[in-house]
Amino acid sequence: MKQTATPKLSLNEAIIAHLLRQNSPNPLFGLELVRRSSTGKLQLKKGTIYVTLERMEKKGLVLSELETSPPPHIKEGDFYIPRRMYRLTPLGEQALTGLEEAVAQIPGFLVGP
Amino acid sequence: MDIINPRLEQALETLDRGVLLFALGGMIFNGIEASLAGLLLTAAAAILYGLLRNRITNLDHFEFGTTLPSLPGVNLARFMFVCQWLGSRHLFDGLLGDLVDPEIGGTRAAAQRHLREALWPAIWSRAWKTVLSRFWLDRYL
Repeated sequence: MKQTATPKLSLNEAIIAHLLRQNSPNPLFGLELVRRSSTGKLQLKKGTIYVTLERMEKKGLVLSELETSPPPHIKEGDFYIPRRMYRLTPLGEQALTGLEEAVAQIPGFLVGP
Repeated sequence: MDIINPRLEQALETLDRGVLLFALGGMIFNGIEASLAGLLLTAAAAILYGLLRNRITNLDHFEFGTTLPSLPGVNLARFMFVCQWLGSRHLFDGLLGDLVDPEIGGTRAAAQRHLREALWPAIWSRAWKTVLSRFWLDRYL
């Protein structure tokens, strides 16, 4: 039987996957991902996050759904459109673990046994 | 909503590659001939194809059951047009959803600034990724 290869993650995809896993099982929306990434040195950008998330969904790394109820700060008559919420899929989790394992091997590879 | 026939997406990719290669060839040969009009016409034809192709294939992704709420300072029709052209319902939902945030959607100016700041990089990123993927360079995405 042919085995499906785990997709490789780009740097932005890895940051997104990491943040989604941190917040699991709760989903996150794009802007929140950008905000959470801004505390680290590797930051996500507002302009490219949605394009990246869309690509990740096509690859089966994340799953998205529209918010079912408005956040508490929204009052009657306020502008509201359901936000798209993202969560990591088992394949995304697998891809992130694979990347972490590969990164963990780098020091050993550089320094030697 | 996904494209109904999965083979359609593949056929469109082949068409894109053909148009892109011919446009590139046209630009090179018109460049050699130093024909500015030829260069401009080739570029215009390729851009027009790209705009219409994406708009047509993404019409169904932007069907809404309800009327969208109006938002002062944001031209939703124009914004939807850009997102259709970019072929990204995620971008449409995402950026409009961001406006729910009081910091971003609180004032007209902040909402406009947010959309402007996000749309330009999205357009460039989308265009760059499309070119790379059409030249079989997806691995560099």
